[in-house]
Amino acid sequence: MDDKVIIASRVALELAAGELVNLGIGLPTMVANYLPPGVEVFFQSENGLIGVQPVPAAGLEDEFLTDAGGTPVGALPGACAFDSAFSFGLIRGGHLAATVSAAWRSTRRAISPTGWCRARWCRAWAGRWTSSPAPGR
Amino acid sequence: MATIAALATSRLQKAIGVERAAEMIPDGAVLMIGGFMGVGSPHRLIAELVRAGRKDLTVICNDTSRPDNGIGLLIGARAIRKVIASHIGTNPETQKQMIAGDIEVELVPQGTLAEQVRAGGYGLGGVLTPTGIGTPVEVGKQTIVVDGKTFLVEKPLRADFALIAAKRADYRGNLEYEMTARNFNPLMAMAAATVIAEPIEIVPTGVIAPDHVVTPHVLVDYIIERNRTHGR
Repeated sequence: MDDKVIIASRVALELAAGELVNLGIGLPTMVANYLPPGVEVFFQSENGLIGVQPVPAAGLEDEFLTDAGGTPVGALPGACAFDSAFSFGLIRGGHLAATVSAAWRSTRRAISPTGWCRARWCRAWAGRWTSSPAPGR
Repeated sequence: MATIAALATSRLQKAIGVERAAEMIPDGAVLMIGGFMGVGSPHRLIAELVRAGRKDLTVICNDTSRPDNGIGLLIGARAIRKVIASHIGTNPETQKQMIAGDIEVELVPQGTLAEQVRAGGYGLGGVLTPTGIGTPVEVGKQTIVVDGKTFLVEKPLRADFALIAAKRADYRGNLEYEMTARNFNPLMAMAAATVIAEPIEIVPTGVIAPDHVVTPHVLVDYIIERNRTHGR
């Protein structure tokens, strides 16, 4: 099995139904594909959307709806669009259950080149500083 | 009645050509440019700044996209002297110029950058944020303790010009945004002396309902005319 598939499917097991989860770009977006059946998790993309899903079929891509890497995505019914201050207010204000971020090194687990953490601070060499989710997780 | 109509028309003269908009922006200007990896960037304005050969710009933006896209085109044209952004990891040309000392890069955590722009637009003296405490981000910055918790004091950011992109502008300049093309645009629309908006569509006043207006027209100085080819 491909390393990325292993990581993505392992991370998916950590997520619980109804949670708001922030996804970084690249491997983290694969996580959505490996959620256990019946587990509805809401993915936030930091560039301003809750309700990210993969593009449902080829040809439906739109240049104004992408993930944080600029790759086209879809949006589930009930999705919400907002600006960058709001987006990071969700993150910094403790409204997330988890964040899945590409990291070269993290404070709790050293997985190279990508990894995940629920630690207080997850440092990403791509330039993202991601604050951890709700207290107690 | 004729006088009222004349007044109404004069207030609606916000639409200008992209060439005229670029002419307003001098070398060395401080710009805020909207967009996230080029999504929601004012592409026609950027192309015109490149064509006009602008130099020494300071650009505040989320990122410099890729070499072939959005703000990356300004980087490729060597138009930018300094960039304040949340990341440059997606543009090797920015990295190359930084290493060569041709461009000054100031990296800011993305949420902090959004708040600094918001503070600049909202008249705040700065924002207190825990992001970056205990990391290189805090070097050289003031910290403050509130109820036992330590915060960084991050200062407001303002610009000479905000170059923003919107889905729709009405005749007055009320703006509506689309999906992930919103990002920094509404924040930047508050934080610059002159705001130039590049809409995909221009619609009659009243088409955008009050509850759907994200950037009120009073903040918008100019709207870029749409392409003039009109099917020809």
